[in-house]
Amino acid sequence: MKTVIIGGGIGGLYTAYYLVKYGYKPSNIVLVAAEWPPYSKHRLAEILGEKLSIDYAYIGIYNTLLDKGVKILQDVAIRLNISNKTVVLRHNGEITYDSIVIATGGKPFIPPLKGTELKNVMTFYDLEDLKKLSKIPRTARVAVIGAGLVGLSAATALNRLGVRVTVYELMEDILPGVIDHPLSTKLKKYLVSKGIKIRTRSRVEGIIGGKTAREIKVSGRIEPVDVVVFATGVRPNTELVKGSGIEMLRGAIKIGRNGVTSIDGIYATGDCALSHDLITGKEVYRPLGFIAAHYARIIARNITGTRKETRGIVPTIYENIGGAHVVRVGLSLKEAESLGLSPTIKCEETPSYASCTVLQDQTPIGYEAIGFSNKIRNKAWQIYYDIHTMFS
Amino acid sequence: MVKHVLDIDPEKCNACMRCVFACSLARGGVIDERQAMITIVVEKGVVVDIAVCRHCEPAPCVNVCEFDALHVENGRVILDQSKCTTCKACVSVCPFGAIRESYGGELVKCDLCGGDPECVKVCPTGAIRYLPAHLVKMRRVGGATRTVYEYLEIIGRG
Ligand SMILES: Cc1cc2nc3c(=O)[nH]c(=O)nc-3n(C[C@H](O)[C@H](O)[C@H](O)COP(=O)(O)OP(=O)(O)OC[C@H]3O[C@@H](n4cnc5c(N)ncnc54)[C@H](O)[C@@H]3O)c2cc1C
Ligand code: SF4
Ligand code: SF4
Repeated sequence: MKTVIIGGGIGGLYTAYYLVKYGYKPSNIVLVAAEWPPYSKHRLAEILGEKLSIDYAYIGIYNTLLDKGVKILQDVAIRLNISNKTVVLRHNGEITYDSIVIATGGKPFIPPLKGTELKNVMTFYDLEDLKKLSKIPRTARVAVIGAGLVGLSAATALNRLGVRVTVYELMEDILPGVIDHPLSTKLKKYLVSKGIKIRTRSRVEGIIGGKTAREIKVSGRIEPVDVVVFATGVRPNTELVKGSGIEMLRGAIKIGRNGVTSIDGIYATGDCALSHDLITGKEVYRPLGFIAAHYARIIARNITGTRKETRGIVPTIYENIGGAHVVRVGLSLKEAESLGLSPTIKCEETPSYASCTVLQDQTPIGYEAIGFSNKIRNKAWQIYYDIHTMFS
Repeated sequence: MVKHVLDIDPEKCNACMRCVFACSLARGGVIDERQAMITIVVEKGVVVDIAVCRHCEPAPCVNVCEFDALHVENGRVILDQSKCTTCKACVSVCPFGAIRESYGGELVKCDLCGGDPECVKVCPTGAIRYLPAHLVKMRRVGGATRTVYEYLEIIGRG
């Protein structure tokens, strides 16, 4: 029995790790990776802000997997032939599989605007972006588009380097997908006090320049700029399976609770696939590293013969945003609403800490907090357990 | 051997930082706060907390880690750097703010120095003691007893 894994990011790497852990013969695993060695995107902002070597990004376990005999092909899968169970690689020809795991990740989404092809317009997504951003001169004016976790991590890292940063966000609040209005307002105030300009309700309409970007058009106004960083979200990278007959939803691969796609023997995990929300049971697109690893484990269990289904995901997010500790467990008010619930929110605060609990019919379904000293004690853990007890 | 954990009394702490330095020395061979696994939390000049791992049972951090990077060994919760990707899920659910970011996003947490914690040896005031776990009441979390939670509620730091 041979398992081929496509993609050497977190999803692919940890599928290989768990397969070996659960007793699968390492030499029967082939990992096809366009990028190698594997690294964690979760460390890019810290490396940028602290001017550290990119070596900090690499994930240690790949050496162990190599030592154990897992076969790594630094290659790109270009075609999947489901009828004869083969996959065609750019350099290594056609290989066969008994099971295949699609872990091709995502790709940064850039809105279709004028000028996004200009030099100095980029994303914050991979090691190449990190290298480019590390070279930005201190005098540069940087526009970060999007105030999500990625945009704000990039903005605070650049701010730490002394670069002038303005963040543009279409919505009324920053971190719109992560925390709700009361906490968002506090975070914004804090970041502004650190010297980051934040413009909410600002629609970026285009980028102007000759070869390089010189100006940015935002809600009708033109502002000078030297570098533009798009942090406007991630979309599934599913070129490989398009037209294969594998069931998709809005560009992402649909998977069952056992990680299997609509076709037997074909699994998918990570930013290329959907996942299940534990509280509502709904299928959602949440491009987060720990979710990729969650399904990697489930998939490895199923391939090694233990039937295993996920109960679903309870988001557990923490980020240090320029010294502000942001925590979110379970659903935010907005996410709960978007999933069809009718939640309420209850907030409390001290001078250095603020938190909100999201409730549905008196039952906690989420908790979010923001702290400004390094005191980050909170009751997120309890809500985490409560949710598991209530909804599983 | 009976499980031992750190017992913390922030009121006794005078922020001399000896434990922090001893910890970073033991871990990285240098005196560097960033590398220590213990944090003295000071707000408006007052020590409000000593953030360090309580080796909870069950441990929320171990429960959430999807990367197999946290496990329990002889009653001690151990973080394996080689498997950790810095997803920070564990940080979000740790009741004690005990998992810290060191350089380049690397996460560190107390491993009790293999059973002979250096911080305890250097603390002059008895703010950190190494005691049998059953004497350290706020250690238990989850399940039927919610003592960590109650503790946090009582001291108003939730
Ligand atoms: C700046 C930043 C910070 C983040 N911080 C966090 C965080 O703190 N916590 C968290 O949980 N998540 C975080 N995320 C999200 C997390 O990084 C992703 O969810 C995670 O990387 C997804 O893993 P994956 O394996 O699905 O995809 P990826 O890690 O993107 O890996 C996919 C890999 O597959 C390769 N590939 C694609 N197609 C092919 C092909 N046809 N053949 C061969 N190889 C191919 C790609 O080159 C890539 O290396 C962050 C993301 C970013 C950008
Ligand atoms: S949850 Fe925090 S205090 Fe408890 S074992 Fe984990 S790191 Fe230690
Ligand atoms: S940050 Fe590291 S130890 Fe913590 S949950 Fe993520 S992978 Fe596990």
